[in-house]
Amino acid sequence: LNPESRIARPAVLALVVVAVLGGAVTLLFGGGEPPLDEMRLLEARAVAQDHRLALAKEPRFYLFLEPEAGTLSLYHGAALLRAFPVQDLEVGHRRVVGGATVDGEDWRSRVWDGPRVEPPVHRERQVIVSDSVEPPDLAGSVDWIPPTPEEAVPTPKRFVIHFHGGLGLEVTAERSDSATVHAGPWARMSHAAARVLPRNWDRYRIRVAMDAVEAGALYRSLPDSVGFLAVLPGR
Amino acid sequence: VNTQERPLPLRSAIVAAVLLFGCSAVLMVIMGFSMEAVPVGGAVAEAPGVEAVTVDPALEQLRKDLRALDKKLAAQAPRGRYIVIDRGNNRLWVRNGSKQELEATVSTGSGTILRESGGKERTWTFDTPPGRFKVLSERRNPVWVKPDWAFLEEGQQPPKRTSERVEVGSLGEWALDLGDGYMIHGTLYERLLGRSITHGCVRVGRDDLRVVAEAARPGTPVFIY
Repeated sequence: LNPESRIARPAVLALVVVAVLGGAVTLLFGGGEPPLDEMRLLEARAVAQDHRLALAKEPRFYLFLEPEAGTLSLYHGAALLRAFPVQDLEVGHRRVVGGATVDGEDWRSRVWDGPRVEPPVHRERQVIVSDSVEPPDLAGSVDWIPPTPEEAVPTPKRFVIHFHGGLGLEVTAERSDSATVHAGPWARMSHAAARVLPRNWDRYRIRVAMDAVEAGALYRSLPDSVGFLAVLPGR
Repeated sequence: VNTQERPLPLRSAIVAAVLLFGCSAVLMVIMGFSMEAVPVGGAVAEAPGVEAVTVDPALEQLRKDLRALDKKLAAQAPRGRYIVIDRGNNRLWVRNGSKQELEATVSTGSGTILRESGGKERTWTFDTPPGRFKVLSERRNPVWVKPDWAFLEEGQQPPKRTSERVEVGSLGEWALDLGDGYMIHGTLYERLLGRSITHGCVRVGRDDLRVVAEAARPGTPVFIY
Protein backbone atom coordinates (compact mmCIF):
# COMPACT_ATOMS: atom_id res chain seq x y z
CA LEU A 1 0.00 0.00 0.00
CA ASN A 2 1.00 3.54 -0.74
CA PRO A 3 1.82 5.44 2.49
CA GLU A 4 -0.50 8.28 1.45
CA SER A 5 -3.52 6.00 1.02
CA ARG A 6 -2.71 4.34 4.38
CA ILE A 7 -3.23 7.70 6.05
CA ALA A 8 -6.21 8.75 3.94
CA ARG A 9 -8.27 5.57 4.27
CA PRO A 10 -8.87 5.73 8.05
CA ALA A 11 -9.67 9.45 7.77
CA VAL A 12 -12.26 8.84 5.06
CA LEU A 13 -13.73 5.93 6.98
CA ALA A 14 -13.96 8.06 10.12
CA LEU A 15 -15.78 10.80 8.22
CA VAL A 16 -18.23 8.36 6.70
CA VAL A 17 -18.94 6.82 10.14
CA VAL A 18 -19.50 10.28 11.65
CA ALA A 19 -21.85 11.25 8.82
CA VAL A 20 -23.86 8.01 9.10
CA LEU A 21 -24.05 8.23 12.90
CA GLY A 22 -25.11 11.87 12.68
CA GLY A 23 -27.90 10.97 10.27
CA ALA A 24 -29.02 8.06 12.45
CA VAL A 25 -29.11 10.21 15.59
CA THR A 26 -31.14 12.84 13.74
CA LEU A 27 -33.61 10.22 12.53
CA LEU A 28 -33.92 8.60 15.95
CA PHE A 29 -34.21 11.71 18.09
CA GLY A 30 -35.46 14.34 15.64
CA GLY A 31 -39.16 13.54 15.99
CA GLY A 32 -41.41 11.58 18.28
CA GLU A 33 -42.44 14.50 20.48
CA PRO A 34 -45.55 14.04 22.62
CA PRO A 35 -48.81 15.41 21.19
CA LEU A 36 -49.70 19.03 21.81
CA ASP A 37 -52.21 19.66 24.54
CA GLU A 38 -55.27 21.79 23.99
CA MET A 39 -54.14 24.49 26.37
CA ARG A 40 -50.96 25.19 24.41
CA LEU A 41 -52.88 25.17 21.14
CA LEU A 42 -55.50 27.62 22.42
CA GLU A 43 -52.79 29.87 23.83
CA ALA A 44 -51.00 29.91 20.49
CA ARG A 45 -54.27 30.67 18.70
CA ALA A 46 -55.06 33.49 21.09
CA VAL A 47 -51.64 35.08 20.50
CA ALA A 48 -52.09 34.74 16.73
CA GLN A 49 -55.59 36.24 16.83
CA ASP A 50 -54.24 39.19 18.82
CA HIS A 51 -51.65 39.81 16.12
CA ARG A 52 -54.30 39.41 13.40
CA LEU A 53 -56.50 42.01 15.07
CA ALA A 54 -53.62 44.48 14.84
CA LEU A 55 -52.89 43.45 11.24
CA ALA A 56 -56.57 43.83 10.32
CA LYS A 57 -56.30 47.56 10.90
CA GLU A 58 -53.31 47.93 8.56
CA PRO A 59 -53.54 48.05 4.74
CA ARG A 60 -51.01 45.27 4.25
CA PHE A 61 -50.69 41.73 2.97
CA TYR A 62 -49.73 38.82 5.16
CA LEU A 63 -49.60 35.03 5.03
CA PHE A 64 -51.27 33.13 7.86
CA LEU A 65 -50.32 29.52 8.50
CA GLU A 66 -52.98 27.58 10.36
CA PRO A 67 -52.06 23.88 10.77
CA GLU A 68 -55.45 22.99 12.24
CA ALA A 69 -57.21 24.27 9.13
CA GLY A 70 -54.48 22.84 6.89
CA THR A 71 -54.03 26.15 5.07
CA LEU A 72 -51.54 28.86 4.32
CA SER A 73 -53.78 31.85 3.59
CA LEU A 74 -53.09 35.23 2.06
CA TYR A 75 -54.87 38.14 3.74
CA HIS A 76 -55.08 41.86 3.21
CA GLY A 77 -56.06 43.36 6.55
CA ALA A 78 -58.94 41.15 7.64
CA ALA A 79 -59.95 40.09 4.12
CA LEU A 80 -59.16 36.56 3.03
CA LEU A 81 -57.74 36.64 -0.50
CA ARG A 82 -56.74 33.04 -1.09
CA ALA A 83 -56.20 29.88 0.95
CA PHE A 84 -53.52 27.43 -0.18
CA PRO A 85 -54.08 23.87 1.10
CA VAL A 86 -51.08 22.46 2.97
CA GLN A 87 -50.25 18.76 2.73
CA ASP A 88 -47.37 18.46 5.19
CA LEU A 89 -45.75 20.75 7.69
CA GLU A 90 -42.48 20.69 9.60
CA VAL A 91 -40.99 23.31 11.88
CA GLY A 92 -37.56 23.55 13.37
CA HIS A 93 -34.43 25.46 14.05
CA ARG A 94 -30.89 25.28 12.81
CA ARG A 95 -28.53 22.97 14.64
CA VAL A 96 -25.33 24.50 15.86
CA VAL A 97 -21.99 22.83 16.35
CA GLY A 98 -21.86 20.93 19.62
CA GLY A 99 -25.54 19.99 19.58
CA ALA A 100 -26.84 23.14 21.30
CA THR A 101 -30.10 24.50 19.93
CA VAL A 102 -31.60 27.94 19.57
CA ASP A 103 -35.29 27.10 20.00
CA GLY A 104 -35.79 29.25 23.05
CA GLU A 105 -37.35 32.43 21.67
CA ASP A 106 -40.93 33.33 20.85
CA TRP A 107 -40.28 32.92 17.13
CA ARG A 108 -43.32 30.71 16.69
CA SER A 109 -45.78 33.45 17.60
CA ARG A 110 -44.39 36.66 16.14
CA VAL A 111 -45.19 38.55 12.95
CA TRP A 112 -42.35 38.29 10.42
CA ASP A 113 -41.54 41.01 7.89
CA GLY A 114 -39.03 41.87 5.19
CA PRO A 115 -39.52 38.95 2.80
CA ARG A 116 -36.97 37.89 0.19
CA VAL A 117 -37.90 35.05 -2.13
CA GLU A 118 -35.26 32.56 -3.24
CA PRO A 119 -35.10 31.91 -6.17
CA PRO A 120 -36.38 35.40 -6.99
CA VAL A 121 -39.39 35.76 -9.27
CA HIS A 122 -38.14 37.18 -12.52
CA ARG A 123 -40.47 38.89 -14.98
CA GLU A 124 -39.21 40.50 -18.14
CA ARG A 125 -40.40 43.97 -19.05
CA GLN A 126 -40.67 45.05 -22.65
CA VAL A 127 -39.64 48.65 -23.33
CA ILE A 128 -41.25 50.46 -26.26
CA VAL A 129 -40.11 53.83 -27.59
CA SER A 130 -42.98 55.60 -29.29
CA ASP A 131 -41.21 56.70 -32.49
CA SER A 132 -39.98 53.17 -33.18
CA VAL A 133 -43.49 51.70 -33.30
CA GLU A 134 -45.04 50.72 -36.60
CA PRO A 135 -48.70 51.68 -37.19
CA PRO A 136 -51.06 48.80 -36.35
CA ASP A 137 -51.88 46.10 -38.85
CA LEU A 138 -55.46 46.90 -39.83
CA ALA A 139 -56.04 43.31 -40.91
CA GLY A 140 -55.95 42.50 -37.18
CA SER A 141 -53.37 39.75 -37.29
CA VAL A 142 -51.57 39.09 -34.02
CA ASP A 143 -47.99 37.96 -34.56
CA TRP A 144 -47.03 37.54 -30.89
CA ILE A 145 -49.06 36.00 -28.09
CA PRO A 146 -47.65 36.64 -24.63
CA PRO A 147 -46.91 33.63 -22.40
CA THR A 148 -49.27 32.31 -19.76
CA PRO A 149 -48.26 32.96 -16.14
CA GLU A 150 -47.04 29.35 -15.85
CA GLU A 151 -44.88 29.76 -18.96
CA ALA A 152 -43.54 33.16 -17.92
CA VAL A 153 -42.73 32.12 -14.34
CA PRO A 154 -42.36 28.32 -14.03
CA THR A 155 -42.93 26.70 -10.65
CA PRO A 156 -39.68 25.82 -8.88
CA LYS A 157 -39.52 22.49 -7.05
CA ARG A 158 -38.75 24.38 -3.88
CA PHE A 159 -38.63 28.03 -2.89
CA VAL A 160 -37.90 29.80 0.36
CA ILE A 161 -39.27 33.09 1.64
CA HIS A 162 -36.57 34.43 3.94
CA PHE A 163 -37.93 36.89 6.49
CA HIS A 164 -35.88 39.53 8.24
CA GLY A 165 -34.80 38.22 11.63
CA GLY A 166 -34.04 34.65 10.62
CA LEU A 167 -37.13 32.73 9.55
CA GLY A 168 -37.23 30.79 6.31
CA LEU A 169 -40.62 29.63 5.03
CA GLU A 170 -39.76 26.79 2.67
CA VAL A 171 -42.43 25.70 0.20
CA THR A 172 -42.04 22.38 -1.57
CA ALA A 173 -44.10 21.71 -4.67
CA GLU A 174 -45.52 18.20 -4.63
CA ARG A 175 -45.82 16.86 -8.14
CA SER A 176 -49.30 16.36 -9.51
CA ASP A 177 -50.41 15.17 -12.95
CA SER A 178 -51.24 18.61 -14.24
CA ALA A 179 -48.18 20.39 -12.92
CA THR A 180 -44.73 20.93 -14.30
CA VAL A 181 -42.09 21.24 -11.63
CA HIS A 182 -38.62 22.38 -12.57
CA ALA A 183 -35.82 20.71 -10.63
CA GLY A 184 -32.82 19.46 -12.53
CA PRO A 185 -29.81 17.87 -10.81
CA TRP A 186 -28.01 21.21 -10.72
CA ALA A 187 -31.02 22.91 -9.09
CA ARG A 188 -31.12 20.19 -6.41
CA MET A 189 -27.41 20.61 -5.68
CA SER A 190 -27.64 24.39 -5.52
CA HIS A 191 -30.65 24.15 -3.16
CA ALA A 192 -28.65 21.84 -0.89
CA ALA A 193 -25.67 24.19 -0.97
CA ALA A 194 -27.91 27.19 -0.31
CA ARG A 195 -28.82 25.74 3.06
CA VAL A 196 -25.33 26.28 4.42
CA LEU A 197 -24.52 29.54 2.66
CA PRO A 198 -24.31 32.52 5.04
CA ARG A 199 -26.86 34.62 3.10
CA ASN A 200 -29.47 31.92 3.70
CA TRP A 201 -28.48 31.33 7.29
CA ASP A 202 -32.00 31.26 8.70
CA ARG A 203 -32.23 30.34 12.34
CA TYR A 204 -35.76 28.96 12.06
CA ARG A 205 -37.34 27.01 9.30
CA ILE A 206 -40.94 26.15 8.46
CA ARG A 207 -41.33 23.60 5.69
CA VAL A 208 -44.64 23.44 3.92
CA ALA A 209 -45.49 20.91 1.24
CA MET A 210 -48.33 21.71 -1.11
CA ASP A 211 -49.64 20.68 -4.50
CA ALA A 212 -47.43 21.98 -7.30
CA VAL A 213 -50.27 23.98 -8.86
CA GLU A 214 -50.94 25.74 -5.55
CA ALA A 215 -47.23 26.23 -4.86
CA GLY A 216 -46.77 27.78 -8.30
CA ALA A 217 -49.74 30.09 -7.80
CA LEU A 218 -48.31 31.23 -4.47
CA TYR A 219 -44.83 31.75 -5.93
CA ARG A 220 -46.12 33.87 -8.83
CA SER A 221 -48.41 36.04 -6.76
CA LEU A 222 -46.46 36.81 -3.57
CA PRO A 223 -46.84 40.51 -2.73
CA ASP A 224 -43.51 42.31 -2.33
CA SER A 225 -43.91 43.21 1.33
CA VAL A 226 -45.92 40.22 2.52
CA GLY A 227 -45.73 39.45 6.25
CA PHE A 228 -46.04 36.08 7.94
CA LEU A 229 -47.76 34.75 11.02
CA ALA A 230 -48.47 31.20 12.21
CA VAL A 231 -50.30 29.26 14.89
CA LEU A 232 -47.46 27.06 16.13
CA PRO A 233 -47.70 25.95 19.73
CA GLY A 234 -44.34 25.44 21.42
CA ARG A 235 -43.39 22.29 23.27
CA VAL B 1 10.47 8.50 -15.92
CA ASN B 2 9.54 6.53 -12.86
CA THR B 3 6.20 4.87 -13.61
CA GLN B 4 5.68 4.05 -9.91
CA GLU B 5 5.30 7.77 -9.06
CA ARG B 6 2.83 8.69 -11.80
CA PRO B 7 -0.46 7.85 -10.05
CA LEU B 8 0.37 9.96 -6.99
CA PRO B 9 -1.14 13.29 -8.20
CA LEU B 10 -4.29 11.47 -9.29
CA ARG B 11 -4.55 9.67 -5.96
CA SER B 12 -4.01 12.91 -4.09
CA ALA B 13 -6.77 14.54 -6.09
CA ILE B 14 -9.16 11.65 -5.34
CA VAL B 15 -8.29 11.71 -1.65
CA ALA B 16 -8.80 15.49 -1.55
CA ALA B 17 -12.16 15.17 -3.32
CA VAL B 18 -13.34 12.43 -0.94
CA LEU B 19 -12.23 14.45 2.08
CA LEU B 20 -13.99 17.54 0.75
CA PHE B 21 -17.16 15.56 0.09
CA GLY B 22 -16.99 13.93 3.53
CA CYS B 23 -16.45 17.23 5.31
CA SER B 24 -19.34 18.80 3.38
CA ALA B 25 -21.61 15.90 4.34
CA VAL B 26 -20.64 16.22 8.01
CA LEU B 27 -21.19 20.00 7.89
CA MET B 28 -24.63 19.49 6.31
CA VAL B 29 -25.59 17.08 9.12
CA ILE B 30 -24.24 19.28 11.90
CA MET B 31 -25.49 22.61 10.54
CA GLY B 32 -28.75 21.51 8.97
CA PHE B 33 -32.15 22.02 10.56
CA SER B 34 -33.56 20.03 13.43
CA MET B 35 -37.14 19.59 12.27
CA GLU B 36 -40.32 18.23 13.83
CA ALA B 37 -43.51 17.31 12.01
CA VAL B 38 -46.65 19.28 12.84
CA PRO B 39 -50.04 17.62 12.33
CA VAL B 40 -52.05 19.27 9.57
CA GLY B 41 -55.82 19.49 9.25
CA GLY B 42 -57.17 19.26 12.78
CA ALA B 43 -54.98 16.34 13.83
CA VAL B 44 -53.56 18.09 16.87
CA ALA B 45 -54.21 15.67 19.71
CA GLU B 46 -55.51 16.56 23.11
CA ALA B 47 -53.18 15.69 25.95
CA PRO B 48 -54.14 12.57 27.90
CA GLY B 49 -56.33 13.49 30.82
CA VAL B 50 -57.70 16.74 29.45
CA GLU B 51 -60.97 15.05 28.47
CA ALA B 52 -61.27 13.47 31.89
CA VAL B 53 -61.21 16.77 33.76
CA THR B 54 -64.78 18.00 34.04
CA VAL B 55 -64.11 21.71 33.99
CA ASP B 56 -60.70 23.28 33.81
CA PRO B 57 -61.36 26.95 34.65
CA ALA B 58 -58.19 28.15 32.92
CA LEU B 59 -59.07 26.25 29.77
CA GLU B 60 -62.65 27.52 29.84
CA GLN B 61 -61.44 31.09 30.25
CA LEU B 62 -59.05 30.65 27.34
CA ARG B 63 -61.83 29.31 25.13
CA LYS B 64 -64.01 32.27 26.09
CA ASP B 65 -61.23 34.76 25.34
CA LEU B 66 -60.60 33.11 22.02
CA ARG B 67 -64.28 33.28 21.04
CA ALA B 68 -64.25 37.00 21.84
CA LEU B 69 -61.11 37.50 19.73
CA ASP B 70 -62.64 35.55 16.82
CA LYS B 71 -65.71 37.74 17.00
CA LYS B 72 -63.67 40.95 16.98
CA LEU B 73 -61.68 39.72 14.01
CA ALA B 74 -64.80 38.73 12.08
CA ALA B 75 -66.15 42.25 12.62
CA GLN B 76 -63.09 43.66 10.83
CA ALA B 77 -63.57 41.50 7.70
CA PRO B 78 -65.34 42.99 4.66
CA ARG B 79 -69.11 42.77 4.94
CA GLY B 80 -70.90 41.32 1.96
CA ARG B 81 -69.25 40.82 -1.40
CA TYR B 82 -65.73 41.76 -2.35
CA ILE B 83 -63.57 41.21 -5.41
CA VAL B 84 -60.08 39.68 -5.33
CA ILE B 85 -57.67 39.92 -8.28
CA ASP B 86 -54.46 37.87 -8.52
CA ARG B 87 -52.09 39.57 -11.00
CA GLY B 88 -49.48 36.82 -10.94
CA ASN B 89 -51.92 34.18 -12.11
CA ASN B 90 -54.53 36.35 -13.88
CA ARG B 91 -57.46 35.24 -11.73
CA LEU B 92 -60.45 37.06 -10.31
CA TRP B 93 -62.73 35.91 -7.51
CA VAL B 94 -65.97 37.29 -6.18
CA ARG B 95 -66.19 36.38 -2.50
CA ASN B 96 -69.07 36.81 -0.11
CA GLY B 97 -67.78 36.35 3.41
CA SER B 98 -66.21 32.89 3.46
CA LYS B 99 -68.04 31.82 0.28
CA GLN B 100 -66.52 31.98 -3.18
CA GLU B 101 -69.17 32.97 -5.73
CA LEU B 102 -67.09 33.26 -8.89
CA GLU B 103 -63.63 32.32 -10.13
CA ALA B 104 -62.70 33.82 -13.49
CA THR B 105 -59.69 33.91 -15.76
CA VAL B 106 -58.80 37.51 -16.56
CA SER B 107 -56.00 39.59 -18.05
CA THR B 108 -53.96 42.12 -16.09
CA GLY B 109 -51.14 44.57 -16.78
CA SER B 110 -48.37 43.55 -19.18
CA GLY B 111 -45.61 45.38 -17.29
CA THR B 112 -44.53 46.98 -20.56
CA ILE B 113 -42.83 50.37 -20.35
CA LEU B 114 -43.73 52.95 -23.04
CA ARG B 115 -41.38 55.89 -23.56
CA GLU B 116 -42.47 58.92 -25.55
CA SER B 117 -39.68 60.13 -27.79
CA GLY B 118 -39.92 63.88 -28.25
CA GLY B 119 -42.87 65.91 -27.03
CA LYS B 120 -43.14 65.76 -23.23
CA GLU B 121 -40.93 62.64 -23.06
CA ARG B 122 -43.39 60.91 -20.77
CA THR B 123 -43.09 57.33 -19.58
CA TRP B 124 -45.90 54.91 -18.80
CA THR B 125 -45.61 51.55 -17.02
CA PHE B 126 -48.50 49.24 -17.77
CA ASP B 127 -48.87 47.54 -14.39
CA THR B 128 -52.05 46.72 -12.52
CA PRO B 129 -51.45 48.34 -9.13
CA PRO B 130 -51.67 46.19 -5.97
CA GLY B 131 -53.62 47.19 -2.85
CA ARG B 132 -57.14 47.82 -1.67
CA PHE B 133 -59.52 49.72 -3.95
CA LYS B 134 -63.27 50.09 -4.20
CA VAL B 135 -65.71 50.25 -7.05
CA LEU B 136 -66.35 53.95 -7.59
CA SER B 137 -68.95 53.59 -10.32
CA GLU B 138 -70.40 51.09 -12.79
CA ARG B 139 -71.10 51.95 -16.40
CA ARG B 140 -73.17 49.90 -18.84
CA ASN B 141 -71.93 49.84 -22.48
CA PRO B 142 -69.00 52.11 -21.66
CA VAL B 143 -67.28 54.29 -24.21
CA TRP B 144 -63.51 54.53 -24.06
CA VAL B 145 -61.91 57.92 -24.42
CA LYS B 146 -58.45 56.83 -25.51
CA PRO B 147 -55.59 58.45 -23.58
CA ASP B 148 -52.37 59.66 -25.23
CA TRP B 149 -50.49 56.40 -24.66
CA ALA B 150 -53.07 54.45 -26.67
CA PHE B 151 -52.04 56.46 -29.76
CA LEU B 152 -48.32 56.63 -29.03
CA GLU B 153 -47.98 52.87 -28.63
CA GLU B 154 -49.44 52.49 -32.10
CA GLY B 155 -47.03 54.95 -33.63
CA GLN B 156 -49.64 57.71 -33.95
CA GLN B 157 -49.81 61.23 -32.63
CA PRO B 158 -52.60 61.82 -30.06
CA PRO B 159 -55.40 63.92 -31.57
CA LYS B 160 -56.39 67.20 -29.95
CA ARG B 161 -60.14 66.76 -30.33
CA THR B 162 -61.85 64.46 -27.80
CA SER B 163 -64.27 63.26 -30.46
CA GLU B 164 -61.34 61.64 -32.26
CA ARG B 165 -60.42 59.67 -29.12
CA VAL B 166 -63.76 57.98 -28.59
CA GLU B 167 -63.94 54.23 -29.14
CA VAL B 168 -67.17 52.27 -28.77
CA GLY B 169 -67.37 48.58 -27.84
CA SER B 170 -63.77 47.82 -26.92
CA LEU B 171 -64.52 47.83 -23.15
CA GLY B 172 -67.33 45.29 -23.41
CA GLU B 173 -70.72 45.52 -21.71
CA TRP B 174 -69.59 46.88 -18.35
CA ALA B 175 -66.83 49.01 -16.84
CA LEU B 176 -66.27 49.19 -13.09
CA ASP B 177 -64.21 52.26 -12.28
CA LEU B 178 -61.50 51.79 -9.61
CA GLY B 179 -60.01 55.30 -9.87
CA ASP B 180 -56.90 56.77 -11.53
CA GLY B 181 -58.02 55.43 -14.91
CA TYR B 182 -57.99 51.78 -13.78
CA MET B 183 -61.09 49.71 -14.53
CA ILE B 184 -62.48 46.20 -14.55
CA HIS B 185 -64.05 45.85 -18.00
CA GLY B 186 -64.77 43.50 -20.89
CA THR B 187 -62.64 42.69 -23.91
CA LEU B 188 -62.79 41.99 -27.61
CA TYR B 189 -59.92 39.52 -27.24
CA GLU B 190 -61.30 36.72 -25.07
CA ARG B 191 -58.78 34.24 -26.46
CA LEU B 192 -56.03 36.21 -24.72
CA LEU B 193 -57.64 35.96 -21.28
CA GLY B 194 -55.23 34.48 -18.74
CA ARG B 195 -52.28 36.40 -20.18
CA SER B 196 -50.76 39.64 -18.94
CA ILE B 197 -51.50 41.99 -21.81
CA THR B 198 -53.40 45.02 -20.55
CA HIS B 199 -52.33 48.59 -19.85
CA GLY B 200 -53.22 48.20 -16.16
CA CYS B 201 -56.96 47.54 -16.33
CA VAL B 202 -58.44 44.13 -15.60
CA ARG B 203 -60.11 42.52 -18.60
CA VAL B 204 -62.85 39.98 -17.95
CA GLY B 205 -64.72 37.67 -20.36
CA ARG B 206 -68.32 38.59 -21.22
CA ASP B 207 -70.16 35.98 -19.14
CA ASP B 208 -67.96 36.43 -16.06
CA LEU B 209 -68.20 40.22 -16.40
CA ARG B 210 -71.97 40.01 -16.15
CA VAL B 211 -71.64 38.15 -12.83
CA VAL B 212 -69.06 40.63 -11.54
CA ALA B 213 -71.21 43.62 -12.55
CA GLU B 214 -74.26 42.04 -10.92
CA ALA B 215 -72.33 41.36 -7.70
CA ALA B 216 -70.62 44.75 -7.42
CA ARG B 217 -72.04 48.02 -6.21
CA PRO B 218 -70.36 51.40 -5.72
CA GLY B 219 -68.25 50.89 -2.61
CA THR B 220 -67.60 47.16 -3.16
CA PRO B 221 -64.02 46.46 -1.97
CA VAL B 222 -61.53 45.27 -4.58
CA PHE B 223 -58.25 43.68 -3.44
CA ILE B 224 -55.45 43.37 -5.99
CA TYR B 225 -52.25 41.45 -5.25
